[in-house]
Amino acid sequence: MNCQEFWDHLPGPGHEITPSQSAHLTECATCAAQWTPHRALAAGLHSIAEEWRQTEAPPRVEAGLMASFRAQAGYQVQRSFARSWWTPVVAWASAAAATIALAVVLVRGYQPAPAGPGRVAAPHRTVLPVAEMASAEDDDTSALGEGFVRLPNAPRIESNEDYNVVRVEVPGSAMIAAGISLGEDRAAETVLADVALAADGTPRAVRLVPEGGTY
Amino acid sequence: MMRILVASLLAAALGAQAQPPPSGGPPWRFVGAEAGRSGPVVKAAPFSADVTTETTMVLQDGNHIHQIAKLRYYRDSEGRTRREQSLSNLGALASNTNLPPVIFISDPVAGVNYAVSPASKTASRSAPGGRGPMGRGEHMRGGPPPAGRQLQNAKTESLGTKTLEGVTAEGTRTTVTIPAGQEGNEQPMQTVTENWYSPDLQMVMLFKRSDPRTGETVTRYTNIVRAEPAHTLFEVPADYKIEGRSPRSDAK
Repeated sequence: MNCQEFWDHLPGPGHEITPSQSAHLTECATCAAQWTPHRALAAGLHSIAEEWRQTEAPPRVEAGLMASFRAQAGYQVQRSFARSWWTPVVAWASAAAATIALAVVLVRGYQPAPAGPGRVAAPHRTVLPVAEMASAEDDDTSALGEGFVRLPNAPRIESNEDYNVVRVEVPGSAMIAAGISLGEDRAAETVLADVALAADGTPRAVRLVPEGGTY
Repeated sequence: MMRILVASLLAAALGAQAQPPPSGGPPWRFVGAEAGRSGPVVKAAPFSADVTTETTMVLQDGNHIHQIAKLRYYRDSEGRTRREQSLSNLGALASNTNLPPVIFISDPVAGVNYAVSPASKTASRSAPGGRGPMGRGEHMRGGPPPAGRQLQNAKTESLGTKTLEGVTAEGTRTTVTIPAGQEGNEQPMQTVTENWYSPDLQMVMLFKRSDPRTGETVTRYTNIVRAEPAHTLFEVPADYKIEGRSPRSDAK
């Protein structure tokens, strides 16, 4: 199990990690260091969500939530509905859901982001113009498409050579070291890059994917 | 009390969110893949093999750079190919990325290519591009120059035949001399490329190149199995999510 698989398959609240995930933690110091605060934070936020289920909201919060609900739903709630006995229950269920959603967002944002299906699929449709690559003039990296720069000391991809492309998140410093003009102030950032792999599996060229992934 | 606890935890969460990745682990993440240009279709020559490429370079200060790229390659009788590609080494970008492997499938029969990510159980579908006649079959890298492209100051010699991993291969060595001044070089430079080509498999089985600009490169096919690979290797598993339009449906 690698780091990405570990974070992709974390169990839900109240469940223990699997033996293979435990084994990964013993092997990977980076994930082990992240796991302890991650677990504490998740448990804390989960306990808050549990406690809030028994807590009554101040009247102004209820009124604010209901007003917001009406505004978003785009219709007027009937007076009898608004005054029914279970209105506070609806309001607090919404509040609890919002708290849990916030907790999930925060906790998930803390760990290395997994490459879920949506994250993988999105760039495929819009970013990598394979047909354009194939028809481009076979002149060094121009055969690969716009923006590719040959990696230091890497041979060119010949016009008769297969290639494939992978998209990865990389440290800005790695891109700068590879000769991509990025700006030193972005060295500590993580950026999106396309890496062209030759038929023998060696990386030959790289390009920076602009924010929004519009290649 | 409750407000203080909530505020503290939210502050801790936001602080954790803003933290840079911990040192000691590169913040690499696989996002997606796209099958690119495929080589010519080679039929009736099925096999599978491990492909290893080693690159060695000696720097001016005596330091060495040594990198290895590995993949498992399959080809069936219909010319379908599958590459199980390790992404642990991305050359000058990083030599140890912890990225999950990716699989590239080219299916000329169905007219479709796939880039498959087993880690996320997803696949990207695309139309094959750049397929066309190329002369002597597939090339791993830098083989004989493409037709119509003349190499000046090149000398090619035959190295005869020999058996590699149970496969007969014909060897050629091409020496190219780059004259002084052509690339700003004070003295002439020489690149030497050695190809061992299997007529049976229509594949360069062993490739060696020595280039003063890029170092020594050796690509070899090992653990060759000359049998029909399982058909399922060229299909996306049924429980995987496939993105991208079907080229066949586009044609309708």
